[in-house]
Amino acid sequence: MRITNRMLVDNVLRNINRNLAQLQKTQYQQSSGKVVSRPSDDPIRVTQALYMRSTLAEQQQHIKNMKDAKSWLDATDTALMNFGEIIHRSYELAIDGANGDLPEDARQAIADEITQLIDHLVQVANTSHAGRYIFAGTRTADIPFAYDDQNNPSAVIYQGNENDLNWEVSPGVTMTVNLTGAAVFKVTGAGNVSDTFDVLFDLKNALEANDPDAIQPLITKLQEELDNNLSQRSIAGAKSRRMELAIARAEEAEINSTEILSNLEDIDIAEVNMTLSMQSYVYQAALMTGVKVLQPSLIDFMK
Amino acid sequence: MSGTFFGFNTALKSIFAQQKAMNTTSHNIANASTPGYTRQQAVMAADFAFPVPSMNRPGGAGQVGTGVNVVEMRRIRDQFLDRQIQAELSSLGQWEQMSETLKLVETVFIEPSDSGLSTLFNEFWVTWQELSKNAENDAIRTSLVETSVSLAEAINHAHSQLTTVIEDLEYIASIKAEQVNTIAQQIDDLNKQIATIQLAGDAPNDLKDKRDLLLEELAKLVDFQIEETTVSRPTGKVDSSGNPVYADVPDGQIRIYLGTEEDPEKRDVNDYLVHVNGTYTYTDSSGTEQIVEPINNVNKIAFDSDTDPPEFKWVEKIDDPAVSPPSYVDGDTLTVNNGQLFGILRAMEQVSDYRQDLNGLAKELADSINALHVSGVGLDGSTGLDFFEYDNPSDPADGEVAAYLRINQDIVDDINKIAASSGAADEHNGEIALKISQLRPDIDRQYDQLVSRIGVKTNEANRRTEGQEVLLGQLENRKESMSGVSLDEEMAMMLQYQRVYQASATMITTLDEMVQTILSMKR
Repeated sequence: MRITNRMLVDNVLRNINRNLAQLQKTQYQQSSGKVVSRPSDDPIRVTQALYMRSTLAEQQQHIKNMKDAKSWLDATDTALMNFGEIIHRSYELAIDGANGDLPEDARQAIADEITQLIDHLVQVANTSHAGRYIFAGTRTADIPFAYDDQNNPSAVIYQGNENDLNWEVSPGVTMTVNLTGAAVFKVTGAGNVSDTFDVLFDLKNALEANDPDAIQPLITKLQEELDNNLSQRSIAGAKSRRMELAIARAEEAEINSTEILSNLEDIDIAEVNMTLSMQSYVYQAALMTGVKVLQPSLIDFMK
Repeated sequence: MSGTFFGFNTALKSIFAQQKAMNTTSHNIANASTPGYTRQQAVMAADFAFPVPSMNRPGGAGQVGTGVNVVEMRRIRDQFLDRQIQAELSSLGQWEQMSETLKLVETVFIEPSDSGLSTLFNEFWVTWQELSKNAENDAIRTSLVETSVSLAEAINHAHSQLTTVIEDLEYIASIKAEQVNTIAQQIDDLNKQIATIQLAGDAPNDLKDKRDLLLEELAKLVDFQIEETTVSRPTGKVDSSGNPVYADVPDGQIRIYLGTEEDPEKRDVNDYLVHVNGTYTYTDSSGTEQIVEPINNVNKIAFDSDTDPPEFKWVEKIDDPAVSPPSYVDGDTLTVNNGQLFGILRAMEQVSDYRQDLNGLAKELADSINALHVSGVGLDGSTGLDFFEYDNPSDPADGEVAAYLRINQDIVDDINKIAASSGAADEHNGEIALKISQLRPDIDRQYDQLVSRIGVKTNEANRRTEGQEVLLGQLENRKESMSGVSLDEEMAMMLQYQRVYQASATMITTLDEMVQTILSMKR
């Protein structure tokens, strides 16, 4: 093959250019820390990375949802615990009050304490978490429990509903996070009176009427209330425990996804450094050969 | 017996020939870096020998040569290689155009990144999830409106960027069409000059170099076929009936057909860009034979963006009696199959496809969210509201959803109107927000697919461009190997010519001395 000076120049230029282009690409990878920076760099990898990114964002959101659910359930548990204490105290007082030897004054004093306990229980029933009433069903913005008559209460009326709050805890899986006031405080439906409160009001009325015989059946009812409270607490507790485990599992999955995403997107620093130094070596070699090849010609040796 | 001064002439002819060769060498060296230059060679041949056979030829043994002549100034070029290079240049032009355009499209969908559309989509879905847990929360409602507005604006922006790419392509297309016309005009001018010189018996080497360079430029723009033409010339002989005999002589001109078949039989004679006719005859309607003198025609092309899909068209066609029947109509479609012109058409189609995909994505997003949103209830009891709107106010049916995607103004004005929950106004179950957030996989997948399609196409265009460049580099190398000027070679040839020149001069001196010897015999 006949070789001309222009061929040499063209080849040297072309090769130097190609080396430089590769060098530039590797340098960009090193400085950005990313293997791919635009879809055409590696379409399949980019699609996988996009998918992993949205998976990761979803996982993080679900972890956040579960943590929110757990704190909601913890608030519920605290409220139920207070509720239980109030009922327990009422139970003790009822036993005291049922004692036929008790003087009327003492019954009156117990009745006063029951009034206070009812007040307290209304507060507990109206517990709010992050600005939302937890026992209101889905009517979370409105106070759920109110006296029938503010000045002379004889019952507590439920204004919430029996609907669930369902939060997504993993793709397509929802969990009911709330216990409705209807279930916890034994209401047959929205707008009706709470049976739990009725028991307390009956107790208060019996005490005020100084009627120990009427108190006796109420003790049994309070016992039932305690049982109901325990079963509600165990529901909330089981859910909270479930969240705890699921959060731990989801966080592991999140770490896993982060690692996959990093494998897809991020450079292997050692490898890129090696490639970079190798490429700059090749580039320098190309420059050197270029100088060596282009310089001499027959003219240098004439005469 | 040859004459006393016989040798003088032989040496003199050699001196002339070496000079001519030396000038060619000088011309080669001078043009060593001229683009498109083809090295030339002064082809020498021994002149006829003496004596020629005849009755009264002088006696003696053998013939004696009479020296050298430069018989041809040859242009060292391989036309087959030229055609190959032209074909590959067309492919390079096409893929380069695709690659350039798609790189622009890619900047619209720059992924993976923390600022691309995918990130905005992420925020959008996450905010719906948050709302599903806290349906009556004002802060989350406000943040949802903000996020949605950002997302809609980003989609609007992507749409307008794609539209800009298409508009730029239309502008480039009309410029490239004009370039084709200019090159055609230049080739036509060169054609005429070349024919004049070639028919006079000379070799218009440098003009042909110029024309070949123009053909390479043209090849990058559009695919074409070349036909070398001949002209009918009297041979000076007559046939048995006394009529002059004509023969077809190549006149060095070329016809160029755009975007047509390789097989001359299948070529559409109407699709010529530069047309050259020798003398030829045709039968007119009255049945008499008509002779047409050589004519040169250049037709023009233009880009038409109004047709769907946009195309290149013939304009200003010259009615050419050579083409029978002359059937051109201005505005005929020009079918291009390669080159930048074809690349532009393909890129346009591709980008409009992506814009359509974006419209589809936006419509799917809006429609599926709206379908859920209308069934929900806002904090103020409002229901039946769309969340997204997308009709073009001036032309609701134009389908450019991505351009007009926006949040329902009622919702922007009053965040209470976001229908996050189902049931009564005072229920905050967040059910609708949850269902909306569950649309995520469908929409995300559509977006990922769009990005992936763009990535695959861009990647292909980049690879093909690189491949074409390598291939062309090799072909150019082969061409350069054949036609390029080698300085070493020219130097060696220069020395050779110089030495022959010196020897010829010495020859004359020697012959002169011999004549001196003869003259001195008289003393």
